[in-house]
Amino acid sequence: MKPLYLASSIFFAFIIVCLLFPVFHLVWLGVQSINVETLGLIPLRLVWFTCLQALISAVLSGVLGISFALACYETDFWGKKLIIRFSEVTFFLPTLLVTLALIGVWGNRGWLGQMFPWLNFYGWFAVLLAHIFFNYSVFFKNVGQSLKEMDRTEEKIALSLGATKWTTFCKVSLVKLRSSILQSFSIVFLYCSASFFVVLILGGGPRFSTLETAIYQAIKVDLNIPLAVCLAMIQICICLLAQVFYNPQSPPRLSAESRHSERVYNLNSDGLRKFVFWGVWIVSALLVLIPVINLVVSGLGGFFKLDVSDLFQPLLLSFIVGVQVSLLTSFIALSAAYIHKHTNLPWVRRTVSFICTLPVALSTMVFGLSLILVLSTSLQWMQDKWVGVIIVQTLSALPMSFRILSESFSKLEQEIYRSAESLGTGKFQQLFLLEIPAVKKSIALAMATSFGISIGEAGAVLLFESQGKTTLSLWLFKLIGKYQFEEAQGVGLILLLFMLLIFTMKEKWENLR
Amino acid sequence: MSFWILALFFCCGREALSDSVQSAEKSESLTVYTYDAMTGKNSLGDKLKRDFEKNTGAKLNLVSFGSVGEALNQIVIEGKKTRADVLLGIDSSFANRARSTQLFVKVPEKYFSELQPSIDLGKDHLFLPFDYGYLAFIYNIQRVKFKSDPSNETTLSQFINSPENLKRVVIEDPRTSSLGFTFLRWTQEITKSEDNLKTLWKSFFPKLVTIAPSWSGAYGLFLKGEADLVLSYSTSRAYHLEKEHRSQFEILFFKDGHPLQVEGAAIVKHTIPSKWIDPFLNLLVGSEVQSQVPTTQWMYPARKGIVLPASFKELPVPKSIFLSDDFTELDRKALIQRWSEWVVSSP
Amino acid sequence: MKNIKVKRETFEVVVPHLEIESGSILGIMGKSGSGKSTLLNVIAGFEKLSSGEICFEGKTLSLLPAEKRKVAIVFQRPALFSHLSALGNVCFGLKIQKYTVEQQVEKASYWLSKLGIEHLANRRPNELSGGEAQRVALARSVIVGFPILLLDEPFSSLDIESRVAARKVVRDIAKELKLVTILVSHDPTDIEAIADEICIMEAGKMSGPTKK
Repeated sequence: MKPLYLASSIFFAFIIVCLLFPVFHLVWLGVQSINVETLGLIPLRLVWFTCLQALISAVLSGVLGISFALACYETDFWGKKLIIRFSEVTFFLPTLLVTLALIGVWGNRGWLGQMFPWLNFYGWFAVLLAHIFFNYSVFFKNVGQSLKEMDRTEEKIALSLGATKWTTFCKVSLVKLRSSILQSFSIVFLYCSASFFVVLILGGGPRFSTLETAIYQAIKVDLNIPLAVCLAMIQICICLLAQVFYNPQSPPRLSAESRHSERVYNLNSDGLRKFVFWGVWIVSALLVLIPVINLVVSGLGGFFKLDVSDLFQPLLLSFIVGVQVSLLTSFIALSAAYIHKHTNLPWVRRTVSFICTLPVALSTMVFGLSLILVLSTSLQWMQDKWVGVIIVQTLSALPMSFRILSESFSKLEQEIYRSAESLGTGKFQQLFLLEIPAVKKSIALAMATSFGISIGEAGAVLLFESQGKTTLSLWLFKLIGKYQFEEAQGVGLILLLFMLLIFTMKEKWENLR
Repeated sequence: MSFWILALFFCCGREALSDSVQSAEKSESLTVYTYDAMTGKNSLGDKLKRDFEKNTGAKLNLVSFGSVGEALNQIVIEGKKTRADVLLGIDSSFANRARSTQLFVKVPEKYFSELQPSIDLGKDHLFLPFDYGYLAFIYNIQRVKFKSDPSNETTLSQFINSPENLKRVVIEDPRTSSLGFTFLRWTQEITKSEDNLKTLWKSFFPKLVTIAPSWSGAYGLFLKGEADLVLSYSTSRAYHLEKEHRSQFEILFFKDGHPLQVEGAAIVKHTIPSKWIDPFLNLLVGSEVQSQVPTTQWMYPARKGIVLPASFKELPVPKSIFLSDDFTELDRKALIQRWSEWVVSSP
Repeated sequence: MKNIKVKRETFEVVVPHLEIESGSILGIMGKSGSGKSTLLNVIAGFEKLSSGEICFEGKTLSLLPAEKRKVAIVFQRPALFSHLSALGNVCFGLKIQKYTVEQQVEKASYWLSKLGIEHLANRRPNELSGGEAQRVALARSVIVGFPILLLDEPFSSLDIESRVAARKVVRDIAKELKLVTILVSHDPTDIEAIADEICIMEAGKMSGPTKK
């Protein structure tokens, strides 16, 4: 059997059993009970607000992320590595914790909020701030990676023809970065359109309701499954629209002859460097660093109030679930990336890309409910509810892991395979002797990423929780529910340290190899 | 080698993740669905569990959910296959919805004999009350001054309309919080007409810092100093007095009274006829557990004659408002829908 | 160029003294990695000098950023702007200099015609052959009228026939416009065909120039 057929079997079997079947099952149940009354309950402003706040959040995250990427790539300044490290971690921090930290800094009695009493924190400002906090790093990483890898010859030509740096950036660099910018935009738009805790806590009330919060209410509070299904189907349509921007061409890569630094804008002149340094640090501080410091300071106080004997079980369970999720996600993402690379059929490629992005737009609530309905009627062993948690978290991590691995696979040139074939290697040998070693670092990154997502995820665990067992993120949620905010911040600090440790280990491993 | 390590992980993982509820023999246990604050160390649930298991030798499984609404929904989803024997914590705002599911059976009369007669969740005795509280705004005297005793001449309506309270108040969302919904009904009760209700809420929205999804979110914001007043229970003051020895959190009393929020327990219809329900309910409304209610739930006990702790004794008891029972699920949805439209259209 | 030094990881590019006259073509030969392209990057302003200075007509170029030096460059890869047509690419520099559209089209048409590629004006870069693209790149660089032209292995991706034609075009243009032209190549036949003077770069050290 060819590896392509094996990968296809694995990937599509998993997707059909764990994603498509439960969702179609739920949609089928819902469609059967849809009526005019249900449709009348959906206010248009819900869809409008969902899209508008996602659009604005994506644009602002893009402006910040691209600026940071340029600054970090084109200049050297003190503390650059710290800025880069924080950007890796912020995406994975638990939403609940970050909202507490943002309130602690920008709220009415916050460290900085007190200086701006006229600022109405709750509502638009808070929602956009939180979304930028979580998502600027998507642009930062993708655009930064493109800047590092793309051939800068066109920029050099433009500069030599007298174009200013700004003109060159707008007319040449942005064109080449278009693919990574649009990809990042579509991912951030999807994440923000499915934003839940941020809107729930920092938005406040019906005026700041998105499709996700409405789905949550329909399932958890009103138990109105037809309404939840309708809302979920609208969300899927939005995902389809956002898919238009996803999966474009990659920019031309660095030529083999270019061995030297590809900095073109060279912002290291004195005046510009100072501007960049202060600009990056001030903006980082306001948006990211100070809230993280608030998190750490509050967390330290709470940490010492925690009962250490209570810590062991959530820590161990989070670790075990995290490892299982990261292994499963990497395996499925690897299969998907392999299909994406080797299939000759463009429609298959697009289908795989679409499926791997679909979980972003699917509500955790709806998806979780669909799994509950399926699991409750299935075989005894499937009724271990942690299977549901692992499946939901795997699907949550799949979009990012797939993107990491498919990018890595796309760099493997055709000549490599032809050379290998000419030397007598078969497809499976190519997979294990060439491809997997070549994308090893990306596999490690995909595993670290999915582990981080699992550790910080609370929605699925909340849906499938069983008595006596808790993860760190669920424990955090419960502590908040029991009004133990300081202990909650202590648990949050543990989560933050866990994630920093994972990403540091990932980097050390990459450097060793 | 790596493969075997990974395989080991999956197997260990399976063991670690195995559900302890499933391993328990169903016949020697009682499963209770409840909300988060009822579980955990030193909670009422913890006390119930210890006493129940000591008295009966059977196991008490407390399964917690984010709210009693979610627990109720879980029972509805599970249907005839539900593991729940008892739903604990059903309150006034969910009682009618629970009633409409027809998933619960009447609680025997004998359990009601020692309870305060005015504390009930409907005359049909489908639910057994175990505690109650009064909705009230709690404020921090270090940041805002009110005359805080029941002789206060302010009404809720006057408080809402007062221009001094701009951007100071945090309340719970009636769509997701039973406390928030009871408050909405409270405003409905005092205004008596739809137009007045709309006008009242339109003037109230500018006073709100935000609308929090749950009580814990709202109270957390209040304690962080984000708001000067929070919608809670009058007994929240007792918590701060007893546990933290802080007296700066006061109750804002209204002349026209405060509604009661009663919590109760319900017996699930589909439960295998269980011999443990009787001892559980006896325990729940027994004097030993009821005397723990004030310092675990921070609510008043439903049983007559329970000696309250000092922190409760010094709390003035507000005038009671009894909200009408015949408020159906459809009424609830319609009211929330109208309220949502007012919020969205307000400046 | 006086006392030029550029530090690299494994060697240092050193040019003690070099003068090139307008209308003269200097050819720099050397193996891959000898520092030829580094020298061109430094003259163009894409890399910084460790020490020394580069002057042109009394002005110290090395103090100016790349976009202000008026140094045109053609690379081995044509590096045409993929979102513009051939005509758009050629007009790019003129647009920066704020020529009107009519003036841009007039000048671009002249140069495209001179290079024998006027029929390709509306084609996209991905529709051009290697030789055609390189001519468009050359037109783009000379149309702006900068006094200095750098050529970094511009012929190495061309077939023999295109190469021969391209060499002639480059020499003719450099002479006609009296440009200071520096051609870098590892192929001696390119240097032989075009350059008036030759330098050799080896491990960063320049020897010459010697007249051809």
